[in-house]
Amino acid sequence: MLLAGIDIGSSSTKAVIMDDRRIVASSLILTGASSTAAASSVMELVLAKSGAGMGDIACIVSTGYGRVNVPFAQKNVTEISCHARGVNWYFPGVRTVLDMGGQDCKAIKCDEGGRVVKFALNDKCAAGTGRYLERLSKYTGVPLGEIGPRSLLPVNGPVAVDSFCAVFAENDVLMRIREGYQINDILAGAVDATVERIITIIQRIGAEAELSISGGIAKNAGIVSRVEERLGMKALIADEPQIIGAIGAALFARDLAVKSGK
Amino acid sequence: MVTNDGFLTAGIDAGASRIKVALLRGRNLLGHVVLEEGTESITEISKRALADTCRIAGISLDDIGKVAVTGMAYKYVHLEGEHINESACLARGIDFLMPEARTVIDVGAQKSLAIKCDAGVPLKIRYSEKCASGSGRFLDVVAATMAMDKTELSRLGLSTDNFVEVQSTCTIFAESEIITLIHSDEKPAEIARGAYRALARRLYGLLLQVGLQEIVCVAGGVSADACLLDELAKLAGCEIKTAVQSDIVMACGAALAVQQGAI
Repeated sequence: MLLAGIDIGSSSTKAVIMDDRRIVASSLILTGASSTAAASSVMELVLAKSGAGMGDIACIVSTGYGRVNVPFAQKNVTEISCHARGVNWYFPGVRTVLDMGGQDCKAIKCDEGGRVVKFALNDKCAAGTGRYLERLSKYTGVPLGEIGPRSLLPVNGPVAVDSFCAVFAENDVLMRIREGYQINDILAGAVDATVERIITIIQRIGAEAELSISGGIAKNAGIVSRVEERLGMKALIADEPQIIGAIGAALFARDLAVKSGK
Repeated sequence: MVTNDGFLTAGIDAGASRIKVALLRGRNLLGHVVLEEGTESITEISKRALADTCRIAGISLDDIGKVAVTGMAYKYVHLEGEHINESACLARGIDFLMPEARTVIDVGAQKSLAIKCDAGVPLKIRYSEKCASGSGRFLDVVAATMAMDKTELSRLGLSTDNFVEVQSTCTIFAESEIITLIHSDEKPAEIARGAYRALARRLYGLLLQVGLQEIVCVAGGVSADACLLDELAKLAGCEIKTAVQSDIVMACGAALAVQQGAI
């Protein structure tokens, strides 16, 4: 039996096709202006990769920011539930999930069955989300992928970026650049500030071992190592941390298919 | 309060985007200057603003008895002077320019400050400084996203009574939301109105925290924005006035604070 999960995030859309035991295929594209169009495109891509046709998929569940805009999904489930479920499938020992996306940051506490026990969410403020880092990349001219590594290699130590707000932090950073500080030192300060924000969200649920980080920011070594250091825990990170929500959605699709006797 | 009629003081209000200077002899305003900040250092611009003010007032720089510095960029003004905090300056300045005002909100480029005051003394103080959503910056971003200047944005917003809800609090998210609204063919005037309403709600929240007491007036960089005042008045259910000399209320307050004998 084949099942599909689609996770429409604010910046990227992910799809996963699973059979009873494993991931058959996965795809990731940029969401762009239309969630519905992104959902169709990513579905086509993942089907092509898997060699299956739409008719072979027993059930499809959507999740994420644009989850209501997937006309061909049988059901939609919140991303909080899907992340907890997806992480549990990947790393059964995980009790704390930190998911950092393009426009929000979630900390989820889950039980041994991948059920949500408690969660805290920042979706109101760009500080502590991928958007902050994207903007940092834009106005420092440092590619997004290099921000993490370079923030770990300060020359004279981190330069404090005092502003909490992503808009004001921009002024701070530009002023520091003008004052002649090393870019790596400024990046270190800016990433420190982002991590501070993330830590306050995790503290609202209380971190419990084991920890897993998912979402696009899991690929940012500068964030991951700082979070690990602050929490005193190693983070488990999937090979493709951005598809955890889609995996969870596919697992919910399996429940639904089993229930309806397919 | 005892003031010496002959004593000359200058107040420098170094904000996030402009430097404001007021020159007073006793309780007489002799001159004032507002300069936009640029690539020059805050100290250099402040010096220039001070020199310009003296020229306008027809006095020499050496005649100034005391200089007071306030505003969020006060740390960068490397001139000899006394630092006075913003709420004290706002209360004192409004008492000088508009003594009937009881609730004042200064909406600046990077922060807002609301006070309840009486006779030049702040009784209750609330800042919104951590987040751009409650400051003039929010309007800057909205105007830039809609490819117009703030005067046009204000005029556009005033042209309608309808509005589209701008839900994002974060200025950065609001920017994407507005782009989406434009692409969904919402009317630009209603988007503009919606953005003003969103900002007005946050400012109103700040006013409520200090206790809304008439007369309410607005000072600072966006104080003359008719659309913002209109939205604020709707929420508050009372008249909202632009402060007299609204740009230099704090600069005047700073200058008054260092008058001889000022408490």
